[in-house]
Amino acid sequence: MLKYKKINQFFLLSSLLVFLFFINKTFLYSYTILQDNYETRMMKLGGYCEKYGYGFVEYLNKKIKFKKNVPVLNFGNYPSIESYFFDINREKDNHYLILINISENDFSKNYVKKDFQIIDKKENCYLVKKI
Amino acid sequence: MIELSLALLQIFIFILIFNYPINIHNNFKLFKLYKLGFYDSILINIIIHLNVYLCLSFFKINLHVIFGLQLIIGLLYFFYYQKEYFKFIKENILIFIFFLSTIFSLFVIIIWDPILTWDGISHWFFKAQIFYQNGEYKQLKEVPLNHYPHLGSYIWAYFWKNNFLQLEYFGRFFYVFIFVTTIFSSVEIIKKKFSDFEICLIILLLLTLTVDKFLLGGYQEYLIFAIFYLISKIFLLLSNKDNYQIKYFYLLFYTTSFLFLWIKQEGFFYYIISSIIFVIFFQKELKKKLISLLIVLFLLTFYLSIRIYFHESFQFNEQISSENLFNQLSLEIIISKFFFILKYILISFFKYPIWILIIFSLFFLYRQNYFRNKKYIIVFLIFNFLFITSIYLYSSYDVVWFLSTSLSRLLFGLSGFFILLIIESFNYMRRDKNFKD
Repeated sequence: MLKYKKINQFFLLSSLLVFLFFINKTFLYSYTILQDNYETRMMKLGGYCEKYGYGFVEYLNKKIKFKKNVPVLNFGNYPSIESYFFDINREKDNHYLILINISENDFSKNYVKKDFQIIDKKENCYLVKKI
Repeated sequence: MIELSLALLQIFIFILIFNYPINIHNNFKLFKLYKLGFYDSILINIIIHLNVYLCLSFFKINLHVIFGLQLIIGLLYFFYYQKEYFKFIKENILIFIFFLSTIFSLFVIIIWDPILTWDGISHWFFKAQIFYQNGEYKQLKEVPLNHYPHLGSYIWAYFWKNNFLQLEYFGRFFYVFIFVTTIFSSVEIIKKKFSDFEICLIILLLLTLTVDKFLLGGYQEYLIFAIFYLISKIFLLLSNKDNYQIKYFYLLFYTTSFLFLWIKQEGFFYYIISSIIFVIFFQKELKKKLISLLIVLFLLTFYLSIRIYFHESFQFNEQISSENLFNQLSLEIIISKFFFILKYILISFFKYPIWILIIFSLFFLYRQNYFRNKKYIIVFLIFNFLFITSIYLYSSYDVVWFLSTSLSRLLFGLSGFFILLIIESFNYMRRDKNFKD
């Protein structure tokens, strides 16, 4: 009887586990994790030149190898991704600036007219340098 | 595959690290009358370890070395008590599997979406970067919002640094672990009255109402939630006359509430409120009240001294000044703000429906005369709501923006204190059916 009760409990718990994994989308997410590695997921969810602009900042960091911490400004409804690339041994860069999700209008109004030179550009993301 | 396997391994590492100094086999001697459960012991160990991490965070110490030491001691403890552990797991296999699975499923959410959310990316992660890159406490001055406490970020960096893949999100796994342990610890008091399946159902209900993917993106709310829960458990145990004299509970209260100060800014007020409740309700004699008050004040002074020593000043997001207060003192402003606060409190209850269950439990237990000798719960609730209201009444920020971005999180953290009311309601329901205790 006791053994039967245990088996019964085990079956019920297994169903509950499947339900838990279902509501937390564990199966689906595990599948995605197995398909895409960390960098790919970061790129997909952090966006290249949209959302956080993770891809664009990552691309610039690999290409230019900044010697200082370059400020990143996100003009969309997302926080700046700057902390991901923050190096405690570097100073803050006062010349370069990375702009994410900035509209043409905002860019020409605030940066073109204020002596900033475009170093790199992808869609609405810019790396600018103060002249 | 490697990420998922290491995530699974990380659960066992957490259990191993936090299985000492108190465990289910030696805690009986420590706490005499109240026998702690497995998840209670893990939670208390986490608090002890957090205090150790806090001390270490002020020194430049190699995080790998500390971790190595912790792991060795954990292994030694495990091997010393292995028979008892295996016996425990065998007897509680279903709930233990559910525990592991719950943690794993939440880990998977983080692994799938490793991008941090607002506050996590804007300031907590900067602090974590400092400790991860072998920086020192004083370097915190160089990052944004450096007046925010650092303990949560230190733990984040600690577990981030000590995993094979060196991926940031491994540090955030700790938040999940402490949160899930809290939920499992909360049901320890009703374990004997319910079957394993029923216990798991209750846990699933609590989890469904409290898990927020957004908060797993680097917020500190789950730490606050866990500390509030443990404080409520200490209060509950102390309100039982049998436990009243047990000094370990006092010690546990001081060490737990002290952590509030080092996790979030509002922790300063949570510490004060919890301490007031502790001194008023749980210290019966005047002499003991005075001693407790002195200890509380000493810890507060210690905290302030360290903050002032390293940061040259102690500040909140907004400076507390009489000028600011007088600016907000018009009746019109107060009334309009008050209605906004009420509106957003209601909205927050829907965002975190655990509060709806807490309110039902409050009414249910009130009808059962539960609060007759537990008036501290009502006082605690009033104090905290007064505190929350006063923040928004006082603030000079745009109240709608401020309420919409922060109130729900404040209430979520606070809900940790009232989780036990839900559990006690289940307890009373079973008692109503003449279930033998």
